[in-house]
Amino acid sequence: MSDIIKVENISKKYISGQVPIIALDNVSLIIKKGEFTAIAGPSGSGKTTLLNLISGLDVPSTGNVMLDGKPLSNMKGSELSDFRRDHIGFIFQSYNLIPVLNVKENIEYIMLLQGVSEHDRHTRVLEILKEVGLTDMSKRRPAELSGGQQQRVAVARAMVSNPDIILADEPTANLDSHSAIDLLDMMRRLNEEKGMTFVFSTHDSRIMERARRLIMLKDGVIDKEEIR
Amino acid sequence: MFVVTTLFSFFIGVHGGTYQGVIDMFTRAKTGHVQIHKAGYLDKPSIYKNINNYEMITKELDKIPIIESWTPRVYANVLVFVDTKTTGAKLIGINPEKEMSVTRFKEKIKKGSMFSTEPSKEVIIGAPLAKVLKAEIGSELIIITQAADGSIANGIFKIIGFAGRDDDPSERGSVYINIKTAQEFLELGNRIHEIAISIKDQEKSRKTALLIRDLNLDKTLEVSPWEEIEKDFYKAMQTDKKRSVIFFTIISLIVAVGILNTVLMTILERTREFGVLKALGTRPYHIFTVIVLETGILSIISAILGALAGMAINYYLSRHGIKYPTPIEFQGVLFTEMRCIINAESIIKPMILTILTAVIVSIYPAIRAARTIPVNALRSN
Ligand SMILES: Nc1ncnc2c1ncn2[C@@H]1O[C@H](COP(=O)(O)OP(=O)(O)O)[C@@H](O)[C@H]1O
Ligand SMILES: [Mg+2]
Repeated sequence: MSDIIKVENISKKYISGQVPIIALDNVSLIIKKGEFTAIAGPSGSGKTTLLNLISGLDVPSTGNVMLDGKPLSNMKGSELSDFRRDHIGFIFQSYNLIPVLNVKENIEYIMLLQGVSEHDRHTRVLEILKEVGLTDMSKRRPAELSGGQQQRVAVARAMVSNPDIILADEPTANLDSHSAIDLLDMMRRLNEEKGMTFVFSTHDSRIMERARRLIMLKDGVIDKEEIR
Repeated sequence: MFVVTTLFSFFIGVHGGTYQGVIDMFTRAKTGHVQIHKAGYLDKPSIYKNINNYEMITKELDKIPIIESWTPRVYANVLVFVDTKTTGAKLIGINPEKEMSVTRFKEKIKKGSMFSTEPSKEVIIGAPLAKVLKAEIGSELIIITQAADGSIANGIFKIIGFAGRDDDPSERGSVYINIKTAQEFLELGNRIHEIAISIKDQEKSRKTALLIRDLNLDKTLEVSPWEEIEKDFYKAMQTDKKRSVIFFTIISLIVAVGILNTVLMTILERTREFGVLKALGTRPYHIFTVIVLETGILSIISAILGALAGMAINYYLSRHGIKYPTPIEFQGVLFTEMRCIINAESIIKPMILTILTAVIVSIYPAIRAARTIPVNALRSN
């Protein structure tokens, strides 16, 4: 399988006040297509920082991130935006759906940016709503949905344009354990059936169990790694 | 933004209303908006610098649509007596009916009565003059002066009314009399000294003066707008206007800061939303446009509503006015109430100010939102 993400010796230093905080310290990592990877670790271990660097939302202090063989550091402005739009799906801890758009419009948004025709968008949204089991909810606003449902919409939004990889930062942290496990099972199913590559972070051991590859972070370094 | 636009519109309305009110009170008290004299009369008035055949001129004036009305006047410096009291005064011959179509002459008469319609030996004298002469309504007034033919004119007249307030400096020497009586008394024939003209739009006084000048009625005549006739008053108004420019600059700044605050708040509140859009792959340029456009549309709506509300307030106050607790005096004219006007200025300026500030202010946060991703805002709840 080909490498989608290649992280080479990245560090991230935050300067807040007098003492610099080293959130990530010389981390290297390769993610291959089709993987279902969890980045686990206690709060403050650097999970969010790592995911933000992989997606180009943030820039590393040193080191390099390659996505599909392209170094992120060489891209900026519209090029980076387009790259994110076409290659990366996002799922946030706090859902971050657009409150003024309904479910269908939230899912459509990226295709709209890509200039997909209305007919194709419609077909695709219906298809994806079925995948995540929200066919009846397409006209609802995010505020009218439960947390678990909102996060399913977020998953749908992330995968709607068939990105190479979906990054999810603690997607279950705001969910009750039942919805959390449901969501994870759904993600795993999408991974197995559609071959979607997922990288998600968590500090919940029951969620970690569902990963096929587990990367343990501790104080900004990779503590250990398991493949199951 | 809405409130700010309304307030600003209201301020301009009040200010304009006051300004216009002052000019209106002033011109309607005495001068009218435009006057015609023999050349040089204004600089050095004399009984000999008079207008012949004024009916020919006024016939032309009647054809100009902006002219509301006109009135002829005769002036002479005279000596007046009541019993043993004597003083110098200014005899003012007026056509009572025409005079009231140009100025508010009738309102000036605080005591006694108005002239009868036919020429008569009645006079109305300024209230301060009456005080000096210890005159009563019904007293006999003796007037002595040199007539236009060089002879000494003298006559006995009857005081039928007092004009103005006791302390009104502009009425200190006024002796009003029917113009026909004055012409006869001064041996002027049909000649007069002044035509005072009122116009429908007081802001067009200079234009109207030029218009009349261009008629080329008589090369020996001089046409002057009130701004030239009452230079001191006009200068005072101009200084006042300059002061209000400063005042409005300050208000504009306050308005701008208020808008800045609103715009920044609305954009900051949505940092996370814009962050999500950006994270999902919206181009920076697109984010920038959305923010500036949204602010623009919002400010246009606010500006329109605000201007409408301001207009409504100004309209109401142009009709009804608010009484001042105590009358305010400006340049010898007394103001009892505040009125607003609705003019283009009170609508357009606040709108432009609101929209421009809002859009300009939104540019910086829009650039920021377009450039940087608020990782921290996206992080947590
Ligand atoms: N913007 C920031 N400024 C300063 N320190 C930060 C910032 N973001 C994260 N950190 C610090 O970096 C470390 C890693 O944070 P984070 O990546 O959020 O960990 P996790 O997601 O595993 O909880 C923490 O110690 C955190 O306090
Ligand atoms: Mg985190």
